[in-house]
Amino acid sequence: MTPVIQLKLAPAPSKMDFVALLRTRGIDLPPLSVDTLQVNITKLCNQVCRHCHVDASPSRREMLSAEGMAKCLEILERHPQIAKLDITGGAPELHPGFDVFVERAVALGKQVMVRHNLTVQLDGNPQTGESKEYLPRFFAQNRVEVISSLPYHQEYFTDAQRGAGVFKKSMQAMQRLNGFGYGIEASGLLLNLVYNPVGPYLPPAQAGLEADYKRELKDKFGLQFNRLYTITNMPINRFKLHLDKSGQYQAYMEKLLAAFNPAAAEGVMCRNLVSVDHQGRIYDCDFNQMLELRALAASGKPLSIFDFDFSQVLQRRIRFDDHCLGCTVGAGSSCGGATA
Amino acid sequence: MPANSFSSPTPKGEIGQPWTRRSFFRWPLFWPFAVASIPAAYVGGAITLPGTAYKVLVGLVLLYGWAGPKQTSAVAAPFILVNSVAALAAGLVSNPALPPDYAWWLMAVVLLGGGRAPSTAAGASPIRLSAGCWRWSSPSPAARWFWYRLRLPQRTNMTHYYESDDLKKFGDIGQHAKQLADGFFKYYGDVTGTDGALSKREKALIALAVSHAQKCPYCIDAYTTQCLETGANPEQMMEAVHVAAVMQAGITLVHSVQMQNHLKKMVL
Repeated sequence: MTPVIQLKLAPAPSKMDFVALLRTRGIDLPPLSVDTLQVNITKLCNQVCRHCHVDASPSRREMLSAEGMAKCLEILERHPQIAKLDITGGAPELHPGFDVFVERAVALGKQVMVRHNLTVQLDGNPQTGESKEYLPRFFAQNRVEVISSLPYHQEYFTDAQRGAGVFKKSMQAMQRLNGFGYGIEASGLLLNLVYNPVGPYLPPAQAGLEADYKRELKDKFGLQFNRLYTITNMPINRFKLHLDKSGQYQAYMEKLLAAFNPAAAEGVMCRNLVSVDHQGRIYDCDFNQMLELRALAASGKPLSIFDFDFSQVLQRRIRFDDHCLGCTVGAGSSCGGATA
Repeated sequence: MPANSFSSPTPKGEIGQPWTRRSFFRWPLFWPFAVASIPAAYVGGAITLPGTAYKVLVGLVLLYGWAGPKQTSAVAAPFILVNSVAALAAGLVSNPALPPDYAWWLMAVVLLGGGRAPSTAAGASPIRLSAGCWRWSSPSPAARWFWYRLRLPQRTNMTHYYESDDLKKFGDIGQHAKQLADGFFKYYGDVTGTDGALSKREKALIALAVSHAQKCPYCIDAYTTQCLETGANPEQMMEAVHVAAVMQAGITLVHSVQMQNHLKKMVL
């Protein structure tokens, strides 16, 4: 129901003031380095996950331009300290320049990670119908690290979060990856899985859940993988909409606040990476990107890949907001799983 | 300001359903009234109108609230207007110099307005509109925050048991017996909060089963979440509940041995 009076009021101040929380705890979190360039090359995706902080879907059109990709590669080439390229989306494989982008980054000697949703192998491009079945072979040829979401080792939670039929397709896709050596210890080809809670609750301990996943996936499907990363759901975009609609936003924020862990705060990923959007704009992380909280140089100028200056990036103040609680609770949360 | 019109049960079939508990309170509607009513009360107190004028004014406002436009964003401006007019009317009617029969007019506004079903815009009386109350499909945090803290006398007439928000007050058991509560919470944390001979997940599943056996809604909510946060799945959780159920059935049935024993004594 629409409000009776549509007034443009400033949003009510939240009780969860993350910046004030850091201040009262005496925690200062300046950037430490930039060892990872995370690039969101498209918001197009073959899936519509209920918790997606990107709001990705088959109808999205945002794509990083060829110039933008070239600029990212140039930055990687000029800065040997940026050792990793983390390619994300949407389903990044649906970007027409994805293959070349990966091959050129690999040629630069960078460790390339792809946030691969598994099902895109079988679904293909929802807009053009182009098949993506070649992906496991392509990944293996380039020795790309594959990081894939799988919210649980059972169908119920997985399909609830990611859509009907996703679990079965994910199992098939993992079989294909295993077939090329992914997830098999001796091969050196890394297949890491990502766990997200399927609702407004915190993730279980990473190590214990990883053991469960390994046992269950091996016993029931004969599948293998390397590591499981547990990630907390960020109270933004699609997940926040769900929280708002179900009246659980405040309770979720209170839960995050109660579980705040200073040690996890010290390890937040934004201290060691920057995130780039499809327009080449730089952010402190993928979540800030979705909230359009641009990273600012000390002078206040928004940072961009098109005038990239490493020292400016290192001297920036990371922009925190209330959603950052999500990365600092319990054992911590990042694109690489628990941090504390 | 007639707090009762939006905090107490309304007289037409809504007993036990105060407006605020149904979260119909809206700050954007409240503020124009709150701001306008103070000068309006001074104006009302300073001027004297013929008695008929008061009746006409109150009647018009009542009519507007009764038959006014339906709630959509397009009619936002008229609601600001009606709030202001209602504020003026309330100010005028609150003039202490008025003869007592005007109090009946005020009561009529409150009761008639309050008695209307809240399903349409016309169902909200001007007083209720003025006071910021509106139909709202999901709980408004502002309304909850305000009324849970105001603690009007009506709230002591408890109409809901096992409010889920009450779980947050578990720590309040330390009132009047802090040392005992502290001891309990430490014990509680030591037992349930860490992996021991049993994992946290196994303990959460046991606690979930006990929650059902003891029929504790707070505990069921808390340990459903705890099971999820320790990586349990719905099959495990449901099986735990079946353990509780079968234990209760078994406990009942095993008592039949006592019945059998006594039966043998009683039968020749």
